[in-house]
Amino acid sequence: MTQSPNTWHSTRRPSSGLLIINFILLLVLLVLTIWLAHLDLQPYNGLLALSIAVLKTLLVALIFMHLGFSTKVTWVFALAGVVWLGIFFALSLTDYISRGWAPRMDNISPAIEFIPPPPGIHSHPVVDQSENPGPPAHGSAG
Amino acid sequence: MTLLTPSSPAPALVVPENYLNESFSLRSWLLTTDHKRIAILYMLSITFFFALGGLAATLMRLELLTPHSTMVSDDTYNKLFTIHGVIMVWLFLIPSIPTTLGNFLIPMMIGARDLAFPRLNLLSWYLFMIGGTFILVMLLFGGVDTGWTFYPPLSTSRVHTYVILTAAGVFVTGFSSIATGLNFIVTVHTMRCPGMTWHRLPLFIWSHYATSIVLVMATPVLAITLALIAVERIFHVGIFDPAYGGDPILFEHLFWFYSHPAVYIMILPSFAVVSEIITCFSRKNIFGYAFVAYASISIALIGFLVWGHHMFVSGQSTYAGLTFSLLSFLVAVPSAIKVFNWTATLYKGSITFQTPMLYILGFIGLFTVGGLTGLFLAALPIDVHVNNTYFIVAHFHYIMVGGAVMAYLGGIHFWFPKMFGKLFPTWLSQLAAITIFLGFNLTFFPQFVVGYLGMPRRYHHYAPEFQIYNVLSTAGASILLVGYVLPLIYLLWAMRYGPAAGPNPWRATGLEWQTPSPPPTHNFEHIPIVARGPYDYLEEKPQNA
Amino acid sequence: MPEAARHLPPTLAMQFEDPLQQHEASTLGMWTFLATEILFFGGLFVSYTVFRLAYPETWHTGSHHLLEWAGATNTGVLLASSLAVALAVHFAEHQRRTALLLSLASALLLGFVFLGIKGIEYHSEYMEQLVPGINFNPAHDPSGRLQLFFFFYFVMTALHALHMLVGIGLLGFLLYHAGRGHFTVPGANTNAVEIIGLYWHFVDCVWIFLFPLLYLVR
Repeated sequence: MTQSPNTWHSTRRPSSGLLIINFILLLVLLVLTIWLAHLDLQPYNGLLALSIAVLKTLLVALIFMHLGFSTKVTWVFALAGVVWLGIFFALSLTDYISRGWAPRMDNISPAIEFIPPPPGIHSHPVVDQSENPGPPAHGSAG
Repeated sequence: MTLLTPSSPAPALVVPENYLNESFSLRSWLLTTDHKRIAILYMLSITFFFALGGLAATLMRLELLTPHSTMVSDDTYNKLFTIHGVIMVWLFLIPSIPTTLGNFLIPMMIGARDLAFPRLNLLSWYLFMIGGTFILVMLLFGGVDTGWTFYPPLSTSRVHTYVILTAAGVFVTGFSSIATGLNFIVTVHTMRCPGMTWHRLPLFIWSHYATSIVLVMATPVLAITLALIAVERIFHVGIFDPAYGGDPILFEHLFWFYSHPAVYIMILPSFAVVSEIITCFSRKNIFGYAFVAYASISIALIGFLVWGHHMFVSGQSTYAGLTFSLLSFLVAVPSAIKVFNWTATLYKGSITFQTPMLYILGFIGLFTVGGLTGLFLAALPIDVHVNNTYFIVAHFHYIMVGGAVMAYLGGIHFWFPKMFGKLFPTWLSQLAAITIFLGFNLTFFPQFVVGYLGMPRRYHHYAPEFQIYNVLSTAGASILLVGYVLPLIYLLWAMRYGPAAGPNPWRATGLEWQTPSPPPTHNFEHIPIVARGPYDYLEEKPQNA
Repeated sequence: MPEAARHLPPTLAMQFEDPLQQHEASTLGMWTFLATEILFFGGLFVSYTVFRLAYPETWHTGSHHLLEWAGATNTGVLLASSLAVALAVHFAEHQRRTALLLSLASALLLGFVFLGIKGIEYHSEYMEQLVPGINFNPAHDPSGRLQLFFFFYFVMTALHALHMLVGIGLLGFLLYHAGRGHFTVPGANTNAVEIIGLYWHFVDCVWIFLFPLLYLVR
C-alpha cells in the first residue's frame, strides 16, 4: 500500500474547527437545558429536557463520532440499538399504561381505573392488581 | 505416523499439515486464535455441560417414576430442574451450533482466513469457561432452586441458595455470547471473498447472521436484569417487590425481553444446518433462497416483539396480552415459510438417507410439532389452561431437543469428515439417529398429554392418574440416553480409527468442501473468487449419484 | 517495519486483506458493541421510566435532593473531554504527536475530574443518609418510595462511573502508545484511537441523558 494511512478510511472527517464549534453548541444546549428546567413549563418540562438531550446526542454522534461522515451501513449499526430500545420501551409501556401505572391520561382508555400504590410500607405483600383489570365500579372492559 | 489397522485403506505416509497437527502443545491450543481450534475447544466444553445437564434430567425423570417423593426432597427437586434449565440453556443450547459449527465454518464458507477478530473469539471461549466455572462452583456449594427464570421476590428475598453466584456465571457467559455475535456480524459484513455477494452466501451464513443480531441485541438486557437481581438480593430496596411499591412483572418484562429472543438464538442456527444438509442430500438447489434467507432475518426481528406471551397469566394487562398474542401468531409465519421451502426442496430431489439427512428429516417433523404447539400457546385462552403444565415443557423440548439438538447432531455428523478428516461408521450412526428419534418421541409426547390433563411443571408430587405418562416418558428418556451415548463413542473412535475422508465425501457444494480435510490453518492457499450461487447441485448428471 | 510499530499489532492483521477492510471491521465492531451498551443501559432506563410514571412526586422530591451544580458541571466536563478525544483522533490522523498527547492527557484529566465530582456527590448523599440499603433514613419519605428514586440514581450513575473508569483505562493505554509514537509514525494504524474515541463519546451520551433524567425532574 503506498497510500498514506490517513486516507485508508474512505470517508471524510470533520476539521478541528468544526469540532470546536460543535463543542460550543453543546455547551449552549447545556445552559439552555438548565435554564428551561428552572422555568415552570409543566407539563412540558420533561419532554423539553429530553428533546434537548436527544439533540445533544445527535450532535455528538454526527460530528464527534463521525456518523455524519460515515457509510450507510454504519448508520444502520448506530441506529439499531436505538430502535431495539424503542421496541422495549413501546411494548413494555403498553402493559404499564393499561394497568394504570401512569397517572390517568385523558386519551387512554378510561375503563381502567388508576389504582394508586398503597401509602406506607406494609409488613405483608400487598396484592392490588389482578389479572383482569376491569374495575368493579365501572363494569369490566377486559 | 498414522496407525495401520486392517479396516482402514492404505493411508498416505505423509499427513499434510493441517490445523490439528500443526502443533500438539497445550499452549498452542489454549492460546490459539484459529477459529477452527476454538470451535473444537467449545465442542469439548459444551459436551461436558450437556452431560451435566443431562444428569440432572436423568435424576428428575427417575424421581418422576412415582407420584410421591421417593429419591429427593422438594428442595432438591427444585434445584434439579433449575440446574437442568440453567445448564442446558446457557451452557449448552445457546452456544452449541454457533460456537462449534459457526466458528469452524463461517470463515471457510465466505472464503476468509479467519473471523474478523480472532483474539476476541478466544476471549469469548475463556469467558464461557469462566461463567461455566461459576456455575460448577455454585453446584458444589449446594445449587440454586429458583427455576432458570429467577422470578423475584422469590429469588431476591425468599431463598437462601446461591442465586448471585449463578447470576454471575450467566452474566459472564452472556458476554461470551455477545462477543461471538459481534464477531460474526462484522465478519459477514467485511470479510466475504471477491464475488461472494450477499445473495451468494450459503443460507448457513444468513441464519447465523440472524442469530448474531439476536445475540447482540438481546443478551445485554439479560446482563442488566441479572445485575439488578443481584443488587436487589443484597440491598433489598424493593424494585421488584410489591410491598415496597415495586413490580415483579417489571422483572418479567426485563427477563423475557432477552429470554424469548434467546429461543431464537437456540433455533436459528439449526435452520442454518438444515438448509445445508437438505440441499446436499436432495442433490438440489434450495427452493426459494431469498424467502429462506429473509425468513431468518424476520424471525430474528419479529422475535423481539413477542416476549409477553410468557406473561399471559402473570399479571400483565389484558391489553398487553392481546398485543403479544397477535404478534406471536405473526412470528410463526417465517418459520412456516422455511419449513415449506425445505419440503419443496425435497420434492423431486434425489434423496438419500445418510445419517445427517436422517437427523434433518427428524428435525423438520419434530420442529413442526413444536412450532404448531407454540401457536396453540399464543392463543390466550389455551395458554391460561396449559400454562405451567407439562404441555409447555413438551412444547419447548420438541423445539429444543427434537429440533435444536437433532440439528446439532446432524451438523456434527455432516461436517465431522471435514473437521477431522475421517469417516464414521454408517450403519451405527443411522441406528443412533433412529434411536434418538424414537426415544425422543416416547419421552416427550406423553408430556403433551399429561400437561393438557393438568399435571403442573416443576412438581415431583403429582396426581396418581398421571403416573402412566411419566413412566412412558422416563422409559423414553432411557432410550434417548443410549441414543446420545452412541455418537459419543463412535465419533471418538472414528477420530482415531476411521478411514480417511478426503476433501468432499458428501460431494457437497460450498467453499469449505474445496479445502483438504482437515483444513490447513489458514484455510485457503489463495482467497477464492466466487462466481456461482451456493447450491449448484442441478449441474450434476443423475448417473453420477 | 519501523522499530516502534513492532510493539503494536502489525499494521495489517493476518485475517485482513487490506487496511480499508481492517478499518471498516474495527469501526463496525465498535458500533456493534455500542449497540449492546445502549441495550445494557436501556434496561435501566425502561425500569426508571416505569417508576417515574408511577411516582412522579417522589421523583420530583428525589431530584431536588441531588446537587444540581455537580451534575451540570460534570456534564460540561464530559462534553469538554469528548472534544479532547475527538481532537485526539484528528491529530492522530494528521500525525501530530504532541497535539495528540496533549488532547489525550486532557481527556484523561477531565475524566478524573468527573469522577472526583461524582465522589463528592456520593459523599454528600451518604452524609445525608440517602443511600438505599446502606443508611437510608426513612424520615426522608414516609411513603417509602424515595428509596426507589435513589436506587436508580446510585445504580445508574455507578454503572456510568464504572464505564468511565474503563474509558480512563483505555485512554491511558492510548496515551502510552501515543507517547511511543505508535500512532504517528508513517504507516501507523490509528484505528485504536478512533474506536476508543467512539466508546468515550458513547459514555458521554449516556450522561447527557442521565443528567436531565436524574437532576432536572420538575
